[in-house]
Amino acid sequence: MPFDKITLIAALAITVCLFGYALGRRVGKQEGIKEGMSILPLEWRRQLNETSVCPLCSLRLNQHKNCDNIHSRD
Amino acid sequence: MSFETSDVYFLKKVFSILITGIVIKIMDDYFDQDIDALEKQPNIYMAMEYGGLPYTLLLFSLAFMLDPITALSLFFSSFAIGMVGHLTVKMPSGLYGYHESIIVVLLGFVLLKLEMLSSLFIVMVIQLWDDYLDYEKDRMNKYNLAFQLGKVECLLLAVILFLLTAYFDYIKAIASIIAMHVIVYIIRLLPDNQKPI
Repeated sequence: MPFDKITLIAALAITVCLFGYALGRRVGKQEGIKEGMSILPLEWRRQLNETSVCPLCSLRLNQHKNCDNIHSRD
Repeated sequence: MSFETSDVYFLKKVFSILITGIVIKIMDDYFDQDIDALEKQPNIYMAMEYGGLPYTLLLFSLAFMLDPITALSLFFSSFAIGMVGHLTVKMPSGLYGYHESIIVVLLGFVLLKLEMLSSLFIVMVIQLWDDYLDYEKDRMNKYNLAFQLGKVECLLLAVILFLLTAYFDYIKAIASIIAMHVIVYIIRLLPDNQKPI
């Protein structure tokens, strides 16, 4: 097989790979973001229950300084 | 040992590519001299001081004498590709970046036909490869193609375009990549006193 044909076929094959990779990466990224967003509230709740520290503002539970009182358990 | 016509043609083409590569690098350094001075990066144009323009013209004349079509197509391509980062910027000519880019590419295709296509491809390869290597350094630079497209996409696109260049003109493809590394080596050889303070 002549050299120019080999280079052309290789270029075509890598182009197909590139499209597959680029598309898969972008779709996977979006799926990952959605999945992460759905897990995040549960993960924060778990951290809050285990450590009694708010993962968002780092305040400890049952403190009167708590600005919005949403974490108070009185 | 005697040189045949094809050997002479080959050598002329290789040296023309190398010299045009140096000219393109000097042009690039001319635009980047302020940034390079701030970042303390070596810059050929600054190292040549007032000799920059005459030396560049002399080198380009030499490259043109060796192989006019290759030298001209590579220079046109680098000019057009260099504008890609500044497409909507108004140039000193009064035209926008993309106007100049399109005019130069069209002129290249009319005058040089397929030679222009292979030159455009190889200049894109060098641009993509350079951006791939600078990915960590230019992470927040929105003009970096590896950052815009993704690192692997950038590399794969460079490989595809390299193969397409090799399909049209394998001497140009291989010689350009070698010339790129030779030029990088030359820049490293710049003595410390010629690097910006």
